[in-house]
Amino acid sequence: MTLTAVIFTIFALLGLWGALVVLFAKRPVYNALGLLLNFVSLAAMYIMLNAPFLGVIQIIVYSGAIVVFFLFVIMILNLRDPLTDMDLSFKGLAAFIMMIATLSLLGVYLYVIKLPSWKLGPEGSPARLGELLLTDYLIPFELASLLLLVAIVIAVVIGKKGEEQ
Amino acid sequence: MSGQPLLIFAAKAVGILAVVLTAATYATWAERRVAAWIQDRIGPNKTGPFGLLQPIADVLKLFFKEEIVPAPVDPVLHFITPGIIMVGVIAATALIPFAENLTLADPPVGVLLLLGISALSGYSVILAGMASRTKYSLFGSLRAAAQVISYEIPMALAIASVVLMAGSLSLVDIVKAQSHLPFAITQPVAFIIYLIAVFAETNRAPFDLPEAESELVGGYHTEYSSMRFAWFFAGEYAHVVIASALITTFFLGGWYGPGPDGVWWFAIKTLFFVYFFLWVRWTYPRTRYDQLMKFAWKVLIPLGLLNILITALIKIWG
Amino acid sequence: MKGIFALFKGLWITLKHNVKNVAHNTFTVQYPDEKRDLPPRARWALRLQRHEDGLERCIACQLCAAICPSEAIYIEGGENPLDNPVSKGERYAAVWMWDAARCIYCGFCVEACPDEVIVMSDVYELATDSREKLIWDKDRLFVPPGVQPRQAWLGYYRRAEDLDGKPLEFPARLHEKEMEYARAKEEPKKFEEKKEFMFLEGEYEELIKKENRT
Repeated sequence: MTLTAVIFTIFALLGLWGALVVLFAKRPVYNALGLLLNFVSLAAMYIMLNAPFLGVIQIIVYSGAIVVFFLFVIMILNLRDPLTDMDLSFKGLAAFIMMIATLSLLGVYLYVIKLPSWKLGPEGSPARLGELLLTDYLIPFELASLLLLVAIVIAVVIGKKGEEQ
Repeated sequence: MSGQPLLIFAAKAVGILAVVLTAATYATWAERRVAAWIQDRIGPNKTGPFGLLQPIADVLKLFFKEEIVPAPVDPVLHFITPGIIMVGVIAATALIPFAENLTLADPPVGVLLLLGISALSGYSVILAGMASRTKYSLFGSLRAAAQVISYEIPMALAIASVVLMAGSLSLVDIVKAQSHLPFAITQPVAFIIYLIAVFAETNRAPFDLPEAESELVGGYHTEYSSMRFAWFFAGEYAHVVIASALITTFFLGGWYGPGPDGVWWFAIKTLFFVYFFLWVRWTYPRTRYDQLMKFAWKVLIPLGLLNILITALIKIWG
Repeated sequence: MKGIFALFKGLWITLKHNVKNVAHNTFTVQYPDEKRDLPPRARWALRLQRHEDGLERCIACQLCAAICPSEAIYIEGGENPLDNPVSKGERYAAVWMWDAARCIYCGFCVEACPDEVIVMSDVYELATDSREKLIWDKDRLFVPPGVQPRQAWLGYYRRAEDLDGKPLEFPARLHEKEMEYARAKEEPKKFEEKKEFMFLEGEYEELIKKENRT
């Protein structure tokens, strides 16, 4: 086993540990931190698999922003209250969003499995990735953007609704 | 490692780290002297010549102080958070191109890696506040979380236009693209956006809301004492030094300058920006939290997007 | 636009102060190394005077102890030995104790003293590490022979002739540093107005003259 393989295994085990923490830790802060550990080790694995751009983006977007948002929400929620106290009056709207999201994801998935296999060069350069995203993978890329846009609009709608009451 | 012998590489790494950490330590001394000068005082001048031994005395004092861990803190998080801030700073040190032959690592995605590191270093502040279980710390970290997320975006947008200009994500290439004209002149809007965002990223006045002494006692580090507190303090100043080095790298042409190029140009520019950080801190009052947020989302981000658009258009047709 | 200009203006002001203070700080007195002169009325630790021949002036009349509002003075009188006199009177102070912590520095003892013994000096560094050390005994209170302690000028209720004809020397001004700075900026008036508790040049002499006339 080479040194690279050993390091890769260590990161894989760390990521697994993080995932288990997400599942089994009782305190929400530790759940979020487990997720962070998972994301960071995943990024390290990407980098070791010759996709440094993907790895770094993983760190910036997921570890740098998403988990921070999770922590932010955990801080704002008063954790002594049980989560079942949450107001579920927008259940119908949530179901609608879920439906749209699932359908869009399904569409993207169906499109992607028909595509030729991943053509990124061994060095995983950002330039090549950008080129691929705007040529061969343009439609899934745009579909993903559309999905995010829908999510943003819905978030704004929900926020507005709360304000009016 | 670009084929260097491991020993030389290690020596370089230790040397650069020592320089950066010493600079961070002496930034505390500079902060106190500059603050005193601006307020018509003298500042610490008794310990050693010009008070130059003051930071060492401070570190010794903090080292021997009793450490108080309040009962309700989260022991694990409380223990590890002061380390996180230093890890981020040290990791960023590896990427900075000090001079043409004095760069520890030059990965092809250096800029993005740097952004990632700076995003991760926000965790120390956020977790410190959550681990302390005090209202002041919690408010501090709440503000820190929102601030870090908001200001990361204009910062990234400003860097994106620099990357467009240089045509590369490597820090060394970005500096080399400025051999004739620094980006501060060709990209003034990006320069100003970056400068403002970096103040929020380092939690320095006028954006030092996470540790606003007058309202939050000490903010996120209220419940830390002794050497733990010193880690936060050193981390903040190391962050200032690193941020100044990055401004130099991105916008002022790193080691290039009039006359012979070299690491001294880098040092001069970095020291100027360290002074600029102190200067601004003792000039402006702290902004209000909603002003801070509004400024990021309603001014800096649209401006940054517009700047990228114009830069891209000029790149295509210019 | 105006706001942006104001930002730069603020930076310029602080920069000016910074540069000025690096070169020369006009305000700070570096206390243990430099000491300010006290204003003429500053009343600090009691000191007891001697005659020119070295004999103690105190005759243990107890007037100061009687008038003291805070009972900070304790005196035990003793018969003055004729062969080896301590004072010039029949009695002398065998014990003279002054409690710096109780004293309110009002100066009544100086007023009451018939023999010019007590003066309020300029010794203001009274801090110690125990309460016992705040009680001054004879050895500390009496000045060495031949030494004239600086006297607080209790101007309003003390006549010039009470000073044994010695001219009272004015100490340098408290705000000399500020004055220096003000003169450099050519706005001395601002600082003159602030010093209401001080006497300006010549004012003291005029007051003495007025008092002599009445």
